[in-house]
Amino acid sequence: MTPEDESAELAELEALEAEAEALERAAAARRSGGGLASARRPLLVQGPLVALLALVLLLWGHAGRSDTASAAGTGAAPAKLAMFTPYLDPPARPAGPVDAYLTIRNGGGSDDRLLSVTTPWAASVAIVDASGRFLPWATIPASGSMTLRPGGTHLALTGLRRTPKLHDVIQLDLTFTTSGTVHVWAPLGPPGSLTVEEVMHAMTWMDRLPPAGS
Amino acid sequence: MTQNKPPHAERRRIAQEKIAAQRAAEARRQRTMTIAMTVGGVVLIGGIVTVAVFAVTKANNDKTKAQASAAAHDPSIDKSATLLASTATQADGGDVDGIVKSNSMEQTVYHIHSHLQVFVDGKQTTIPYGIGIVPPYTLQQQTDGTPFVGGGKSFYFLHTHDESGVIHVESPSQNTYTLGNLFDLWNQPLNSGAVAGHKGTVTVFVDGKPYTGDVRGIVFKNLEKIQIDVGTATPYKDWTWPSGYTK
Repeated sequence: MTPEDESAELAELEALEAEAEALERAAAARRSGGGLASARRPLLVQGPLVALLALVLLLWGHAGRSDTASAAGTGAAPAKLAMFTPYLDPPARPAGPVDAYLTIRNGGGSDDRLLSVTTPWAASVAIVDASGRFLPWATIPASGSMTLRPGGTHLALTGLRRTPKLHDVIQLDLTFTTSGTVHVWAPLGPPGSLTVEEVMHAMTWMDRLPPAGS
Repeated sequence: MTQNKPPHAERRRIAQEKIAAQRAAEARRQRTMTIAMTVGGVVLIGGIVTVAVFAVTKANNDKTKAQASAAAHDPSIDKSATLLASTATQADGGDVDGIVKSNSMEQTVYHIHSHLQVFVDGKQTTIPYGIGIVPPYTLQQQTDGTPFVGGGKSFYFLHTHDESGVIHVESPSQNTYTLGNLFDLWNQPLNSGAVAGHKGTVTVFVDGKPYTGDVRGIVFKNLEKIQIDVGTATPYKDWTWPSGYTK
């Protein structure tokens, strides 16, 4: 072996030993617990569990808020209305007024207000109390009812476009703050004197004054 | 000077063994990390799916409870004990199947009536008033004491005023409306094995004759009488139209 060959072999051997030493140092550093690499191991194991725990807590919190909102909302459930047995009295004079009555029940958890009433039969409809004063609205209390009755608060149709006669079916559109506009068909005559067939016929003239004798 | 170092061959062997050992250790470490990441991922995804299923189930249960509560407090809708199904979840004014709309019927051109009766295991059910009428309702009493809807917020082209089973078809143009359209706006299932939540063999009669076609496809015709039996078949039971519907 020439001196040059021996020198080259020695250099290669030292490089090999240096690589081995570097690898051992790196392993020792990982084992000693320092550095970013050593932090990765617990992160790998605990990371998914922490993420899962965070998700569970997030959904739990959301569900809790929903339950709270639902419980709090019990008292604030929207108004749920129904109208019962509307009818009108025949007018005392041909020019009117014509008085209308009905009961409005509210099964919801919030008040609603009857704001206005219109009809194709009259220029205006007012909400009038027992003493004849015009009311700006009438409140239908939550879980309660309001009855518009003779001698009490009622609806008064004035400016008649035609004088209604007994058994005419009168369309009244009642507009509420929450429940919107509800179309009501009511008989001129005793309460409860309306039939399905009469409503069916009256609906064909919706929002229009039916021709006389129709 | 004495040479203490091992011979070159021995030094080379030792160095090579050290390198091989460290590379093997690194390979083991990489395998461990891969396994840990895979297991962690599976645990995370499994957990997310479980939590999501729980959340969706809870949300659905809450919605069902809220609907039941709202229906219980709604003074408008039919709550008869013998109803085929409640109207609590029916359409609330939006178009149904693209052709069944709600309007104020200012231009009613097409106006016919059909009759529907449904027997579940031999017992006749009640078709609710107010199918296709958006609450609040105005409720009146018929001479027999049963209620009917004399008004509402809006009216679909297909609707029921009372519990008689009469289906009112009132639309601004002559169109083809089917039993499937009615059940869709009612938001109730209708197929060969289920009617409004009642499951069983479905037998159909139209005007007294057995009908073997698609029950959803039955077209409403004037004064038509439709009987559906779910489960136990019930012989056809005729129904007489009141005088107001004879045209």
